[in-house]
Amino acid sequence: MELMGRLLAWGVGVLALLLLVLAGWWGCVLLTAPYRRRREASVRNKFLHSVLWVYFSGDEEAAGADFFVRRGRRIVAECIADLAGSTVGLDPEPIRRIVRELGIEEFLWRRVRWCRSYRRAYYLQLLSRIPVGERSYREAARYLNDRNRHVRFCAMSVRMAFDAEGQYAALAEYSDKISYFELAELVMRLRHRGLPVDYRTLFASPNRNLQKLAMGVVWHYGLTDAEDELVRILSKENPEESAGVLYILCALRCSVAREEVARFISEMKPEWRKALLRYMARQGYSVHALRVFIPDDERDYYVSLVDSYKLNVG
Amino acid sequence: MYRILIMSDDAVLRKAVAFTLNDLEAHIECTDRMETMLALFRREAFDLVIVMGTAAQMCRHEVMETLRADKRRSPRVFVISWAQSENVSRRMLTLGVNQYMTLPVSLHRLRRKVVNEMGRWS
Repeated sequence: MELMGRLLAWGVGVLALLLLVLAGWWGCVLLTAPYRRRREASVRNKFLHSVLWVYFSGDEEAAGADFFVRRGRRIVAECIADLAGSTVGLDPEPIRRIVRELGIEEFLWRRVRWCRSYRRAYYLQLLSRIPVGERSYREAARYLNDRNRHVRFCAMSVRMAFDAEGQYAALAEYSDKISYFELAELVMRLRHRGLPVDYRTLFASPNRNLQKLAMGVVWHYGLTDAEDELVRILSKENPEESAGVLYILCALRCSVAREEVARFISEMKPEWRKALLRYMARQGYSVHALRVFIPDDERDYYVSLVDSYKLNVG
Repeated sequence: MYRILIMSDDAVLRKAVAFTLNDLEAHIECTDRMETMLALFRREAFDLVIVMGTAAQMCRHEVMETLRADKRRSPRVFVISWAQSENVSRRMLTLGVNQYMTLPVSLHRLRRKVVNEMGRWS
């Protein structure tokens, strides 16, 4: 009994000590957080200034590579990703040189290997936004079957970033159905490439992800020419994508009195149709335009919507 | 001196654009929020306002009202946003925006446009 008591006391003492150390560590993290944020912002500013100087002065050497290696390659990678994400037309060679000199690619892959879950996805996403080599293309294949969906998507993005010509094949092989958030990300990447997108070929593909990509491109660029291709996707076997097609047709202000469209809307679930009517009211469709498929009770609801949005439609 | 006001909540983009224009004979101010931009604009006269981010912010009625309140001066307004469709660009021009560009933005092209504006102003 005495031994048990002593062991218990020791256990409680060790636990208390551990808790004290943990609390102390956490307190230090909180107290130093403002200092770390200021330091990060300072490094970010210096690096950005250095890179922009290289671009606009034509000077080939970015100043202070050692400084950035010591202070944080993660910050450098984030800056490059942000700059590449918001601008276009800058010569990629200075950035490639900086990535090589500072060993950014190797650094990020080390982080990918050590981290798990969303942290790993974050570093993969950074890799997909900076100029990478063939090594990244091969390494990313390892994470295409990761347990975490976001990791799988970011790994595919890394492969797409490296291989512009094979990007559609990479998307077709992707095991998951891409979500609308992922679709927005993919459309942004296509914009960055600045290459023409043959959306008709994508629509004709039997692969659902490629069809969805085509839908995203059409919506994003407001391509009213794609109305026929959109209508062909409408199908009861595919209610979710078909609902997406309807929203795109409304965003493009296409006619909804078309036979296939009107039939599909009239056969929709009432709650889905109600949500669609709210969107159509915001897009400015008149009650007259919807007369072919709205039951009387929903027509009154639609009139009240139009009145509430204070739209003057015929 | 030509006065330029830049608004963007993206710090990297804000600094990149400011750096692109910093060798021009212009005074440049940057801000990260629309409210701060409007407050700065009310306090001082700017010749060019560059708004970057979402075009939706420009649709708030107080934004263009503030920028066009003083009938004696007519600052140029550039909007740079992600929205690509024709509807949005037409709406921006209807609101009174002078130039609508889409993101990702070409810094060289933006600089050329600003230089042209400065040439007209002088």
